[in-house]
Amino acid sequence: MGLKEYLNDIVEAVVTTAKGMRITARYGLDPKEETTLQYPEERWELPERYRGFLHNDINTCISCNMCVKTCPMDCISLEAVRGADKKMVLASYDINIGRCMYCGLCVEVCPPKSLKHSLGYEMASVNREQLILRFVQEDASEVKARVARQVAEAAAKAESPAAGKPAPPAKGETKE
Amino acid sequence: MTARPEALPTQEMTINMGPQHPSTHGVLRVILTTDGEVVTRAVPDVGYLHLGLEKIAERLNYSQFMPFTDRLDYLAGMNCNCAWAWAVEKLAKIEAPERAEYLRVIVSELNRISSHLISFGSFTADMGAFTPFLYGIREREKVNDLFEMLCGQRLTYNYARIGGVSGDAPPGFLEKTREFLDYFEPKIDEYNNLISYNKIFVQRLANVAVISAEEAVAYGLTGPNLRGSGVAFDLRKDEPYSVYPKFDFNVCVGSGERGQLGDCFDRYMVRINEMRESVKILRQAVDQIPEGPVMAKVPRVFKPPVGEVYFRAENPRGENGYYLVSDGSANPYRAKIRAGSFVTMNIFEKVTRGLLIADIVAVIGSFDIILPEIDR
Ligand code: SF4
Ligand code: SF4
Repeated sequence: MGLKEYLNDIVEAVVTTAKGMRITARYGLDPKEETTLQYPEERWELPERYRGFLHNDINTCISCNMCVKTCPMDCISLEAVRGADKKMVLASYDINIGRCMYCGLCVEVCPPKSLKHSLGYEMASVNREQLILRFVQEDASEVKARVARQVAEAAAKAESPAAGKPAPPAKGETKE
Repeated sequence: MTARPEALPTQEMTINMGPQHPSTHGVLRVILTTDGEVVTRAVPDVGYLHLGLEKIAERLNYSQFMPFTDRLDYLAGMNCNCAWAWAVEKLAKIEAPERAEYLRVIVSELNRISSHLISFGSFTADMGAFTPFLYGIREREKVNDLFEMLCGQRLTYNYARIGGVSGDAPPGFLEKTREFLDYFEPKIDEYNNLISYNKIFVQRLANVAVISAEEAVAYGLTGPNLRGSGVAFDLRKDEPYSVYPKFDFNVCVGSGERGQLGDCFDRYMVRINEMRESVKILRQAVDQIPEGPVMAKVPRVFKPPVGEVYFRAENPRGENGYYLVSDGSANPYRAKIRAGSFVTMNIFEKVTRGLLIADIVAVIGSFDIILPEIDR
């Protein structure tokens, strides 16, 4: 490499770097170009379709098991028993969000649209147990025992001729 | 340089670069045999990020596997999503509605831009210029915002479906895309002024790891790595799929503008220029998109007929192919995934022979590898 080329290279390096630095300086100094969002003080607006934590409205859930079958990660587990009015009653509905990848496939298949994504995206827990979201607050065995009692009562009423109509549907009672 | 005195015997040294090395873009281990600063042999050791995707595909049904394709190339999830959908549709002979195809092309090209932005940013950061990375990320955020609006996620989109897409463009999406294009196009020139033609940057890349066109073809390189060697092969043009034939765009190839044809700089420039072509495609797609449904009628329990099919799509990192074998059940009997980055690793040992250690970083960056694609 000749001396001329060598010096040329140095000049070119300085010129092109200065060119780049000018762009950097413009962005650095112009307050209009500020792009950093001061999270958590500032937040961006979440779109309607945002796929955050899952939420199941257990009052409208029909325990059809579609979400369980669709989930590729087996995050969802539910237990349901047949109530006195022949409708399914949820005994437990748990979503393990430690496994969930927020793909939204379960939400898409839910027939009554009771399972939805919420806009929540912040959560911290100190153990894995807390990552399991339980949507039925009551203990599963309690629900089962209660429903079994109701079914037995209804059956007894239906059998005894003295009773007129069967007991009103137990649906209301299973609500939280 | 003076010759080494015979009295000082030197020994070759074997050192590990990675798996935890910031410039290997993930967990790639390169076993370097060096003679001083010169690399005599660099053997990539892959497999640290094995996801077992192909096996997972066999255990899940066709639509359940869709979210996993996001993980194949997490910087270009949309491209992988769409490629999987196209592959399964080819197998089951389903046709997606035209609007869905347009939306797929729009998201694929947007994702190509955002993927190339990361490639541009991380490559320049590896070369010692950290600022461009921030600019790349800044623009990519805008693409992520668009995707978030469309499908609710910023990285793992799970947007395509067998027979269409999961949701139509929400009101304002196409306008916002147009706005983004107007904003983004001038930025490419800014990147060029900022770093692309910076003499120091050019000097580090020009004439490094030259791959001739014959070699590139022989080693099965695809995507920008192949085009960097001057081979104008682009699946969007040469094996057109979806609605790509309707768009007018050029295939960018390396020209050896700052050194030999097929060097690191050519591969870098192909990506920069491809962003421009993507903008061109996007403008046409956004203008031409027809009205209509976005989902074809696909039975809920979806069982494609017995058969096998290979479909390949042009992803930001080269050909993404799915070889599917169906035995008529709801799960694929076999799903072989062909990913661009994995094949690129073949030529790694050959092109790095005799380079300096610092150039290895340039080679890895110019290949724009992504580890989940290598290890799958
Ligand atoms: S979002 Fe996906 S991973 Fe999470 S529970 Fe639903 S189907 Fe399973
Ligand atoms: S798919 Fe919906 S209704 Fe059915 S069990 Fe799941 S949450 Fe309940």
